[in-house]
Amino acid sequence: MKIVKANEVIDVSTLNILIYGEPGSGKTSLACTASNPLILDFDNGAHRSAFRKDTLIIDTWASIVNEAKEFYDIISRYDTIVMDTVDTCLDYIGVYIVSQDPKLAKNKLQFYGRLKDEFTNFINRLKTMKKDIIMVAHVKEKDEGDARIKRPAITGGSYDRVLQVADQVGYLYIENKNRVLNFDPNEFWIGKNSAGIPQQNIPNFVEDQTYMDSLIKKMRDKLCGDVIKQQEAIKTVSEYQSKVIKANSLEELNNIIQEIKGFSEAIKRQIWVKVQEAGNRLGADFDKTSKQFIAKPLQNEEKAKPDK
Amino acid sequence: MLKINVTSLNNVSAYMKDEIEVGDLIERLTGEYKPTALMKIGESFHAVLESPYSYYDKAKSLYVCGGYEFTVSDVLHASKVIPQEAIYELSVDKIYSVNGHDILVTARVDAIYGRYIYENKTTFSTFSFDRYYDSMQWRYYLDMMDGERIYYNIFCMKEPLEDSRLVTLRSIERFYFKPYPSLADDIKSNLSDFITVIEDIGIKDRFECI
Repeated sequence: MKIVKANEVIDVSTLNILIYGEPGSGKTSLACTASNPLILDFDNGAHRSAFRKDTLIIDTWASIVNEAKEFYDIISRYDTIVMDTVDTCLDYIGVYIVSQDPKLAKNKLQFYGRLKDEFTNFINRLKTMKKDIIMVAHVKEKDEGDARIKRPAITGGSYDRVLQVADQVGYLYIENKNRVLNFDPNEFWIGKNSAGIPQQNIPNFVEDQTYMDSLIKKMRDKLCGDVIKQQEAIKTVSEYQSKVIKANSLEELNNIIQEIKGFSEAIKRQIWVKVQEAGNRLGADFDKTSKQFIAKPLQNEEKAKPDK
Repeated sequence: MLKINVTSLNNVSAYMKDEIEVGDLIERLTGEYKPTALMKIGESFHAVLESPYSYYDKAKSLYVCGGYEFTVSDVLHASKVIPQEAIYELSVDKIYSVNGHDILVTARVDAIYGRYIYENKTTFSTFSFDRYYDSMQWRYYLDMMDGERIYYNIFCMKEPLEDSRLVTLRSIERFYFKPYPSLADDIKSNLSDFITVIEDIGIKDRFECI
C-alpha cells in the first residue's frame, strides 16, 4: 500500500461527476455518451433515455451486497459507472442498513453515519477499480433569503456526502430548446467546478455520441494541469526561499523583491516570510514607499563614538 | 477607507440569507470576540497540530494544550492531512473598491503550500458540507491569495465527558474548492451588502481606517 502524503501530488486518474436537472433534460442520455458506460438503474427509468446503453436494473442494495462477486465482475467490464439516480441508490442503502441493524431507524445520527460509510466504501471501491463515476440526480429548489436556489434532489444528511465526494457538480437545463450544462456555482444553482470547465452547450447526442467521454478527458487534463501548476509553484517557492536565505547584502535582497513582483500572491507571500527574516538578519528596515529594504540608521551612541 | 475581516464578511452573508438576526449580526460585527468552550478546544487542537512538540506531555503520553488533552494517534492522524512544509498562520489583506468605497479586507489563513491553501476546522456537531460550501471565507481566500485550491480539513471531534479533559477525533472530512468565473462578482456583491448593512445600522464609523 502506498501512502500519499499531504504534500505529495495525487494522480487524477478517476473522476466523480454529479449531474442534476429537471426530468427530461437528458441527464441519462448525456451520461450515456461517456466512455463504455454501464447504467446502474436504481429508478427503473433508464428505458426513458433515447440513447440508453448497457443497463443493470437494481431494486435493492441487498442484491449488490449478496451478489458482490458477480456485481463487481460486471462492473470491471465497463469504464464509466452511471448511478441513476444517486438519491434512490442512497434510499436503497438506507433500507438495507436498517434491515441489518433495526436500531438505526431510531437513531438519525448513527443512521446517517452508517449510510455515509456504506456509500463512501462503494464509491471508493469503484475508484479503486479505476472507474469514472457519473451520479445522476433530479433537481429541487431551496429558499435562501429572498432567493430560491436550485440544488440536487438528495435527501437528508446524504446530500453533504454526495457533494463532498463529487469532483464536478453540474446543473443541466434547457434554454431556447438547447441543452446547457453549467458547473459553476452562482446565485441560482449549486455547482462545483474543480476542473474549471466553461459552460457547455450540449450537442445533439446523435451527432456526438462521445460527448461526455471528451468532456471527462478535458476535465482530467485540466485537473492534471492544476497539479502540475502546484508542483511548479512549490518549486518556485523553494528556489526563492533558498535564494533569500543565501542573500548576503541588501542589494541581493532588493533584487529578489523585484524578481518576485509579478508572482501570484500565494507564492509571493510564502517567499516574503523568508524575505522579512533576511531583512532582520541584515539589519535593515523595509521602506514602504520605495518598497525596498534600507539599512537601519545608526544609533545615537554609535554616531557619537569618536574616531580612533 | 473601510477595514473589515473575512469572518465578519461571512456574517454579513449569513445575515443576507436570513441565517442570523440583525441583533446577532451587530453583536458579531461590533462585539468583542468571545470564543465558546468548544471553540477553545478547537483552538487548542489547532495549536497542537501546528507545533506538536511544544505540547507533548511525556508523563501522560498525551498532547496537552489549553487544559485539554489529545491522544498521540489522533494528532498523528490529523497531522497527515497538513503538509509539514507549509507556511502557517499567514496574515493576508487586499484592498477592494466597491460602490465608491475602498475596503481593506484582512484575513489569517491557516496554512499555505505552493498555490494550495489549507483551512483546518474543528466541529463537534454532524459534518455539513453545505455549511462550508455556502461560506464566503474560501471565496475571499482564493481571491486574495490568487490560490489554485483551498482544502478544508474538518476535524470532527467528540466532546470530553464531564469528568474528563480528553477530546477525541471521530473522523476527518476533507474536500477542496477552486476559483470559478463569477467569484469576483460574488465578493463584490458581499462587499456591497456589507456597506449597505453598516450604513443602515449606523455603524459605518467603526470600520473607518486611515
